[in-house]
Amino acid sequence: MLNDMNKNDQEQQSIDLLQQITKGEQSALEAFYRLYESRVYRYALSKLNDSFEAADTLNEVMMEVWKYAQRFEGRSKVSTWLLGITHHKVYDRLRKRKKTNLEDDIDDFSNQLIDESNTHMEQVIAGADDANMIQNCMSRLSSRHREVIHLAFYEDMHYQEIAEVSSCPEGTVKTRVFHAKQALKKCLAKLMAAMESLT
Amino acid sequence: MNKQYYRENLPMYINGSLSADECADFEQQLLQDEELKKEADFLSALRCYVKDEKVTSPGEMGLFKLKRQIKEESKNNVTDNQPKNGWRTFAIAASLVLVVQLGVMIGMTQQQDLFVPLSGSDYAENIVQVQFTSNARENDIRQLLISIDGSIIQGPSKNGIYRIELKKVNEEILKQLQQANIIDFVAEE
Repeated sequence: MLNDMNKNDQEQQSIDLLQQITKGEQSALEAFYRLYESRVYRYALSKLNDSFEAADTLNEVMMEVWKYAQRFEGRSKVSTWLLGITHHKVYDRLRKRKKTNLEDDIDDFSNQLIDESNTHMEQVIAGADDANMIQNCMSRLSSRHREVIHLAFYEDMHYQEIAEVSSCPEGTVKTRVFHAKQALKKCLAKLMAAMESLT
Repeated sequence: MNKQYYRENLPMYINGSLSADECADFEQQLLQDEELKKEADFLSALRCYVKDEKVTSPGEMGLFKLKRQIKEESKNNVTDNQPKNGWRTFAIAASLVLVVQLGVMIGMTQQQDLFVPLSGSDYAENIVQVQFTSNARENDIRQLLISIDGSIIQGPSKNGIYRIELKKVNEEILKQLQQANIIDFVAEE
Protein backbone atom coordinates (compact mmCIF):
# COMPACT_ATOMS: atom_id res chain seq x y z
CA MET A 1 0.00 0.00 0.00
CA LEU A 2 2.80 2.38 0.98
CA ASN A 3 4.62 1.40 -2.19
CA ASP A 4 1.54 2.26 -4.25
CA MET A 5 1.34 5.65 -2.55
CA ASN A 6 4.99 6.34 -3.34
CA LYS A 7 4.37 5.37 -6.97
CA ASN A 8 1.36 7.68 -7.17
CA ASP A 9 3.36 10.52 -5.59
CA GLN A 10 6.16 10.05 -8.10
CA GLU A 11 3.69 9.97 -10.99
CA GLN A 12 2.09 13.22 -9.83
CA GLN A 13 5.51 14.79 -9.32
CA SER A 14 6.49 13.76 -12.88
CA ILE A 15 3.31 15.25 -14.35
CA ASP A 16 3.92 18.51 -12.45
CA LEU A 17 7.49 18.63 -13.72
CA LEU A 18 6.33 18.10 -17.31
CA GLN A 19 3.92 21.01 -16.95
CA GLN A 20 6.74 23.22 -15.68
CA ILE A 21 8.99 22.07 -18.53
CA THR A 22 6.28 23.11 -20.99
CA LYS A 23 6.62 26.62 -19.55
CA GLY A 24 10.37 26.52 -20.23
CA GLU A 25 11.57 25.98 -16.65
CA GLN A 26 14.99 24.41 -16.95
CA SER A 27 15.15 23.54 -13.25
CA ALA A 28 12.13 21.26 -13.81
CA LEU A 29 13.96 19.51 -16.65
CA GLU A 30 16.94 18.97 -14.32
CA ALA A 31 14.69 17.38 -11.69
CA PHE A 32 12.95 15.28 -14.36
CA TYR A 33 16.33 14.17 -15.73
CA ARG A 34 17.52 13.08 -12.27
CA LEU A 35 14.28 11.16 -11.75
CA TYR A 36 14.43 9.17 -14.98
CA GLU A 37 17.93 9.24 -16.47
CA SER A 38 18.95 5.88 -15.07
CA ARG A 39 15.80 4.12 -16.33
CA VAL A 40 16.04 5.64 -19.82
CA TYR A 41 19.75 4.83 -20.04
CA ARG A 42 19.29 1.23 -18.85
CA TYR A 43 16.48 0.64 -21.32
CA ALA A 44 18.50 2.08 -24.22
CA LEU A 45 21.50 0.01 -23.15
CA SER A 46 19.42 -3.16 -23.00
CA LYS A 47 18.57 -2.73 -26.67
CA LEU A 48 21.74 -1.14 -28.05
CA ASN A 49 24.35 -3.00 -25.98
CA ASP A 50 26.65 0.05 -26.37
CA SER A 51 27.20 2.51 -23.51
CA PHE A 52 28.17 5.43 -25.79
CA GLU A 53 25.12 5.05 -27.98
CA ALA A 54 22.89 4.60 -24.93
CA ALA A 55 24.26 7.85 -23.44
CA ASP A 56 23.60 9.68 -26.71
CA THR A 57 20.08 8.25 -26.81
CA LEU A 58 19.45 9.49 -23.26
CA ASN A 59 20.52 12.95 -24.38
CA GLU A 60 18.21 12.84 -27.41
CA VAL A 61 15.25 11.64 -25.32
CA MET A 62 15.69 14.41 -22.73
CA MET A 63 15.99 17.01 -25.51
CA GLU A 64 12.70 15.68 -26.90
CA VAL A 65 11.13 16.10 -23.45
CA TRP A 66 12.47 19.65 -23.25
CA LYS A 67 11.03 20.57 -26.65
CA TYR A 68 7.80 18.59 -26.68
CA ALA A 69 6.72 18.02 -23.05
CA GLN A 70 3.30 19.38 -24.03
CA ARG A 71 2.75 16.24 -26.10
CA PHE A 72 2.25 14.21 -22.93
CA GLU A 73 -1.51 13.84 -22.77
CA GLY A 74 -1.82 11.79 -19.59
CA ARG A 75 -3.25 8.76 -21.39
CA SER A 76 -0.44 6.56 -20.05
CA LYS A 77 2.02 6.72 -17.17
CA VAL A 78 4.88 9.19 -17.61
CA SER A 79 7.42 6.35 -17.58
CA THR A 80 5.51 4.48 -20.32
CA TRP A 81 5.42 7.64 -22.47
CA LEU A 82 9.12 8.31 -21.84
CA LEU A 83 10.25 4.74 -22.57
CA GLY A 84 8.09 4.84 -25.71
CA ILE A 85 10.11 7.84 -26.92
CA THR A 86 13.30 5.96 -26.04
CA HIS A 87 12.08 2.94 -28.01
CA HIS A 88 11.66 5.06 -31.16
CA LYS A 89 15.05 6.74 -30.76
CA VAL A 90 16.74 3.39 -30.29
CA TYR A 91 14.90 1.90 -33.24
CA ASP A 92 16.18 4.76 -35.44
CA ARG A 93 19.72 3.95 -34.34
CA LEU A 94 19.32 0.25 -34.97
CA ARG A 95 17.92 0.99 -38.42
CA LYS A 96 20.93 3.19 -39.15
CA ARG A 97 23.19 0.34 -38.09
CA LYS A 98 21.32 -1.69 -40.71
CA LYS A 99 20.93 -4.53 -38.28
CA THR A 100 17.23 -5.08 -38.78
CA ASN A 101 17.84 -8.05 -41.04
CA LEU A 102 20.36 -9.47 -38.64
CA GLU A 103 17.86 -9.15 -35.81
CA ASP A 104 15.28 -11.03 -37.79
CA ASP A 105 17.82 -13.75 -38.35
CA ILE A 106 18.48 -13.96 -34.64
CA ASP A 107 14.73 -14.08 -33.98
CA ASP A 108 14.50 -17.02 -36.35
CA PHE A 109 17.42 -18.64 -34.59
CA SER A 110 15.66 -18.20 -31.26
CA ASN A 111 12.55 -19.79 -32.73
CA GLN A 112 14.55 -22.92 -33.39
CA LEU A 113 15.41 -23.15 -29.73
CA ILE A 114 11.94 -23.80 -28.43
CA ASP A 115 12.40 -27.55 -28.23
CA GLU A 116 12.74 -28.11 -24.50
CA SER A 117 13.32 -31.85 -24.64
CA ASN A 118 17.06 -31.51 -24.04
CA THR A 119 16.80 -28.71 -21.52
CA HIS A 120 17.29 -29.74 -17.90
CA MET A 121 15.63 -27.24 -15.64
CA GLU A 122 17.95 -28.00 -12.71
CA GLN A 123 20.91 -26.96 -14.87
CA VAL A 124 19.04 -23.91 -16.10
CA ILE A 125 18.18 -22.75 -12.58
CA ALA A 126 21.75 -23.31 -11.39
CA GLY A 127 23.00 -21.36 -14.43
CA ALA A 128 20.57 -18.52 -13.79
CA ASP A 129 22.06 -18.10 -10.31
CA ASP A 130 25.48 -17.51 -11.86
CA ALA A 131 25.74 -13.83 -12.85
CA ASN A 132 28.54 -14.39 -15.39
CA MET A 133 26.70 -17.19 -17.09
CA ILE A 134 23.43 -15.32 -17.36
CA GLN A 135 25.21 -12.17 -18.54
CA ASN A 136 26.84 -14.23 -21.28
CA CYS A 137 23.48 -15.63 -22.39
CA MET A 138 21.70 -12.26 -22.17
CA SER A 139 24.33 -10.73 -24.47
CA ARG A 140 23.53 -13.39 -27.08
CA LEU A 141 19.86 -12.49 -27.22
CA SER A 142 18.51 -10.33 -30.01
CA SER A 143 17.81 -6.69 -29.25
CA ARG A 144 14.04 -7.34 -29.21
CA HIS A 145 14.38 -10.21 -26.76
CA ARG A 146 16.67 -8.26 -24.42
CA GLU A 147 14.14 -5.44 -24.56
CA VAL A 148 11.18 -7.51 -23.38
CA ILE A 149 13.22 -9.15 -20.62
CA HIS A 150 14.31 -5.70 -19.44
CA LEU A 151 10.79 -4.27 -19.47
CA ALA A 152 9.30 -7.32 -17.77
CA PHE A 153 11.91 -7.79 -15.08
CA TYR A 154 13.59 -4.42 -14.54
CA GLU A 155 10.59 -2.16 -15.14
CA ASP A 156 8.17 -4.85 -13.85
CA MET A 157 5.71 -3.96 -16.60
CA HIS A 158 2.61 -5.90 -17.56
CA TYR A 159 2.35 -7.27 -21.14
CA GLN A 160 -0.04 -4.46 -22.04
CA GLU A 161 2.42 -1.74 -20.95
CA ILE A 162 5.33 -3.45 -22.72
CA ALA A 163 3.22 -3.50 -25.89
CA GLU A 164 2.54 0.22 -25.51
CA VAL A 165 6.23 1.08 -25.03
CA SER A 166 7.43 -1.07 -27.91
CA SER A 167 4.55 -0.17 -30.26
CA CYS A 168 3.48 -3.71 -31.04
CA PRO A 169 0.49 -5.97 -30.26
CA GLU A 170 0.28 -7.63 -26.85
CA GLY A 171 0.37 -11.05 -28.51
CA THR A 172 3.72 -10.22 -30.10
CA VAL A 173 5.12 -9.25 -26.69
CA LYS A 174 3.98 -12.58 -25.22
CA THR A 175 5.64 -14.45 -28.08
CA ARG A 176 8.87 -12.49 -27.64
CA VAL A 177 8.95 -13.12 -23.89
CA PHE A 178 8.39 -16.81 -24.55
CA HIS A 179 11.16 -17.02 -27.15
CA ALA A 180 13.55 -14.98 -25.02
CA LYS A 181 13.00 -17.35 -22.08
CA GLN A 182 13.54 -20.41 -24.24
CA ALA A 183 16.72 -19.02 -25.78
CA LEU A 184 18.08 -18.19 -22.32
CA LYS A 185 17.23 -21.63 -20.96
CA LYS A 186 18.88 -23.37 -23.87
CA CYS A 187 21.99 -21.22 -23.59
CA LEU A 188 22.26 -21.72 -19.80
CA ALA A 189 21.79 -25.48 -20.13
CA LYS A 190 24.52 -25.64 -22.79
CA LEU A 191 26.96 -23.59 -20.69
CA MET A 192 26.25 -25.67 -17.58
CA ALA A 193 26.75 -28.90 -19.53
CA ALA A 194 30.04 -27.56 -20.90
CA MET A 195 31.16 -26.61 -17.37
CA GLU A 196 30.28 -30.04 -16.04
CA SER A 197 32.20 -31.78 -18.82
CA LEU A 198 35.29 -29.80 -17.83
CA THR A 199 35.15 -30.85 -14.17
CA MET B 1 -7.56 -21.57 -16.02
CA ASN B 2 -5.56 -23.94 -18.20
CA LYS B 3 -1.88 -24.80 -18.25
CA GLN B 4 -1.24 -22.36 -21.11
CA TYR B 5 -2.61 -19.48 -19.00
CA TYR B 6 -0.21 -20.20 -16.12
CA ARG B 7 2.81 -20.63 -18.43
CA GLU B 8 2.00 -17.40 -20.27
CA ASN B 9 1.35 -15.25 -17.21
CA LEU B 10 4.07 -16.60 -14.94
CA PRO B 11 6.46 -13.69 -15.79
CA MET B 12 3.71 -11.27 -14.71
CA TYR B 13 3.28 -13.17 -11.44
CA ILE B 14 7.04 -13.00 -10.84
CA ASN B 15 7.23 -9.25 -11.54
CA GLY B 16 4.25 -8.52 -9.30
CA SER B 17 2.00 -6.97 -11.94
CA LEU B 18 -0.97 -9.31 -11.33
CA SER B 19 -3.89 -8.53 -9.04
CA ALA B 20 -4.06 -9.99 -5.51
CA ASP B 21 -6.67 -12.57 -6.62
CA GLU B 22 -4.58 -13.68 -9.57
CA CYS B 23 -1.52 -14.00 -7.33
CA ALA B 24 -3.41 -16.16 -4.84
CA ASP B 25 -4.55 -18.38 -7.71
CA PHE B 26 -0.95 -18.71 -8.93
CA GLU B 27 0.27 -19.63 -5.45
CA GLN B 28 -2.22 -22.48 -5.33
CA GLN B 29 -1.17 -23.68 -8.77
CA LEU B 30 2.54 -23.57 -7.86
CA LEU B 31 1.90 -25.96 -4.97
CA GLN B 32 0.45 -28.50 -7.39
CA ASP B 33 2.61 -28.09 -10.50
CA GLU B 34 6.29 -29.01 -10.07
CA GLU B 35 7.28 -27.90 -13.59
CA LEU B 36 5.66 -24.51 -13.10
CA LYS B 37 7.53 -24.15 -9.80
CA LYS B 38 10.87 -24.78 -11.55
CA GLU B 39 9.99 -22.26 -14.23
CA ALA B 40 9.12 -19.77 -11.46
CA ASP B 41 12.52 -20.37 -9.80
CA PHE B 42 14.26 -19.73 -13.12
CA LEU B 43 12.35 -16.49 -13.75
CA SER B 44 12.96 -15.28 -10.17
CA ALA B 45 16.71 -15.81 -10.63
CA LEU B 46 16.56 -14.02 -13.98
CA ARG B 47 14.71 -11.06 -12.42
CA CYS B 48 17.28 -10.86 -9.60
CA TYR B 49 20.06 -10.68 -12.18
CA VAL B 50 18.31 -7.97 -14.24
CA LYS B 51 17.55 -5.89 -11.11
CA ASP B 52 21.04 -6.23 -9.63
CA GLU B 53 23.04 -5.73 -12.83
CA LYS B 54 25.52 -2.92 -12.24
CA VAL B 55 25.08 -0.17 -14.80
CA THR B 56 26.68 3.25 -14.52
CA SER B 57 24.52 5.86 -16.20
CA PRO B 58 25.91 9.21 -17.39
CA GLY B 59 24.45 11.00 -14.31
CA GLU B 60 25.50 14.62 -13.78
CA MET B 61 27.81 14.55 -16.79
CA GLY B 62 24.84 13.77 -19.02
CA LEU B 63 22.89 16.61 -17.43
CA PHE B 64 25.78 18.99 -18.03
CA LYS B 65 25.83 18.05 -21.73
CA LEU B 66 22.07 18.42 -21.97
CA LYS B 67 22.12 21.90 -20.44
CA ARG B 68 24.92 22.98 -22.73
CA GLN B 69 23.06 21.67 -25.78
CA ILE B 70 19.93 23.58 -24.75
CA LYS B 71 22.01 26.73 -24.33
CA GLU B 72 23.62 26.27 -27.75
CA GLU B 73 20.28 25.62 -29.43
CA SER B 74 18.73 28.72 -27.91
CA LYS B 75 21.72 30.76 -29.17
CA ASN B 76 21.24 29.27 -32.62
CA ASN B 77 17.57 30.17 -32.57
CA VAL B 78 18.48 33.79 -31.86
CA THR B 79 20.88 33.90 -34.81
CA ASP B 80 18.53 32.02 -37.13
CA ASN B 81 17.76 35.13 -39.14
CA GLN B 82 21.41 35.79 -39.96
CA PRO B 83 22.98 34.32 -43.14
CA LYS B 84 24.19 30.79 -42.48
CA ASN B 85 27.72 29.50 -43.04
CA GLY B 86 27.03 26.07 -41.51
CA TRP B 87 29.31 24.24 -43.91
CA ARG B 88 32.22 26.44 -42.88
CA THR B 89 31.69 25.73 -39.15
CA PHE B 90 31.38 22.04 -39.92
CA ALA B 91 34.57 22.05 -41.98
CA ILE B 92 36.50 23.80 -39.18
CA ALA B 93 35.14 21.37 -36.57
CA ALA B 94 35.97 18.36 -38.76
CA SER B 95 39.51 19.64 -39.35
CA LEU B 96 40.01 20.12 -35.61
CA VAL B 97 38.83 16.56 -34.90
CA LEU B 98 41.23 15.22 -37.56
CA VAL B 99 44.14 17.15 -36.09
CA VAL B 100 43.34 15.88 -32.57
CA GLN B 101 43.02 12.29 -33.76
CA LEU B 102 46.23 12.45 -35.76
CA GLY B 103 48.10 13.88 -32.78
CA VAL B 104 46.74 11.22 -30.48
CA MET B 105 47.69 8.45 -32.91
CA ILE B 106 51.23 9.79 -33.24
CA GLY B 107 51.46 9.99 -29.45
CA MET B 108 50.23 6.43 -29.10
CA THR B 109 52.72 4.98 -31.57
CA GLN B 110 55.51 6.45 -29.46
CA GLN B 111 54.39 4.54 -26.40
CA GLN B 112 56.12 1.26 -25.70
CA ASP B 113 53.23 -0.20 -23.73
CA LEU B 114 50.64 0.30 -26.42
CA PHE B 115 49.77 -3.36 -26.72
CA VAL B 116 48.53 -5.28 -23.72
CA PRO B 117 47.81 -8.98 -23.37
CA LEU B 118 44.23 -10.12 -24.08
CA SER B 119 43.95 -10.99 -20.41
CA GLY B 120 44.06 -7.23 -19.76
CA SER B 121 46.59 -4.70 -18.55
CA ASP B 122 47.24 -4.00 -14.90
CA TYR B 123 45.45 -0.65 -15.10
CA ALA B 124 42.51 -1.54 -17.35
CA GLU B 125 39.90 -0.17 -15.00
CA ASN B 126 41.33 3.31 -14.41
CA ILE B 127 39.13 5.08 -16.90
CA VAL B 128 37.78 8.62 -16.86
CA GLN B 129 35.45 10.32 -19.32
CA VAL B 130 36.27 13.86 -20.37
CA GLN B 131 34.95 16.52 -22.64
CA PHE B 132 37.47 19.00 -24.04
CA THR B 133 36.62 22.66 -24.56
CA SER B 134 35.77 23.62 -28.12
CA ASN B 135 38.99 25.66 -28.42
CA ALA B 136 41.32 22.93 -27.09
CA ARG B 137 44.33 22.45 -29.33
CA GLU B 138 45.95 19.12 -30.12
CA ASN B 139 49.21 20.29 -28.57
CA ASP B 140 47.47 21.14 -25.26
CA ILE B 141 45.64 17.81 -25.22
CA ARG B 142 48.87 15.91 -25.89
CA GLN B 143 50.73 17.77 -23.10
CA LEU B 144 47.92 17.06 -20.65
CA LEU B 145 47.75 13.36 -21.53
CA ILE B 146 51.52 12.99 -21.14
CA SER B 147 51.46 14.77 -17.77
CA ILE B 148 48.84 12.40 -16.36
CA ASP B 149 50.20 9.30 -18.12
CA GLY B 150 46.91 8.70 -19.94
CA SER B 151 45.79 7.51 -23.35
CA ILE B 152 42.57 8.09 -25.26
CA ILE B 153 40.99 4.66 -25.69
CA GLN B 154 37.62 5.62 -27.17
CA GLY B 155 35.89 8.61 -28.64
CA PRO B 156 34.86 11.13 -29.56
CA SER B 157 31.21 10.14 -29.11
CA LYS B 158 28.55 12.15 -30.91
CA ASN B 159 28.59 14.55 -27.96
CA GLY B 160 32.35 14.88 -27.87
CA ILE B 161 33.12 12.55 -24.96
CA TYR B 162 36.49 10.79 -24.83
CA ARG B 163 37.39 7.81 -22.62
CA ILE B 164 40.87 8.10 -21.18
CA GLU B 165 42.74 5.23 -19.57
CA LEU B 166 45.16 6.17 -16.79
CA LYS B 167 47.81 4.18 -14.99
CA LYS B 168 46.18 5.27 -11.77
CA VAL B 169 43.26 7.45 -10.78
CA ASN B 170 43.59 9.51 -7.62
CA GLU B 171 42.32 12.78 -6.21
CA GLU B 172 45.38 14.65 -7.44
CA ILE B 173 44.96 13.56 -11.08
CA LEU B 174 41.23 14.21 -11.04
CA LYS B 175 41.87 17.68 -9.61
CA GLN B 176 44.48 18.33 -12.28
CA LEU B 177 41.97 17.35 -14.97
CA GLN B 178 39.18 19.44 -13.43
CA GLN B 179 41.45 22.49 -13.27
CA ALA B 180 42.86 22.11 -16.78
CA ASN B 181 41.55 25.00 -18.87
CA ILE B 182 41.04 22.76 -21.91
CA ILE B 183 38.59 20.46 -20.12
CA ASP B 184 34.90 21.20 -19.77
CA PHE B 185 33.94 18.19 -17.72
CA VAL B 186 35.54 15.13 -16.21
CA ALA B 187 34.02 12.10 -14.50
CA GLU B 188 35.46 8.85 -13.21
CA GLU B 189 33.83 5.70 -14.65
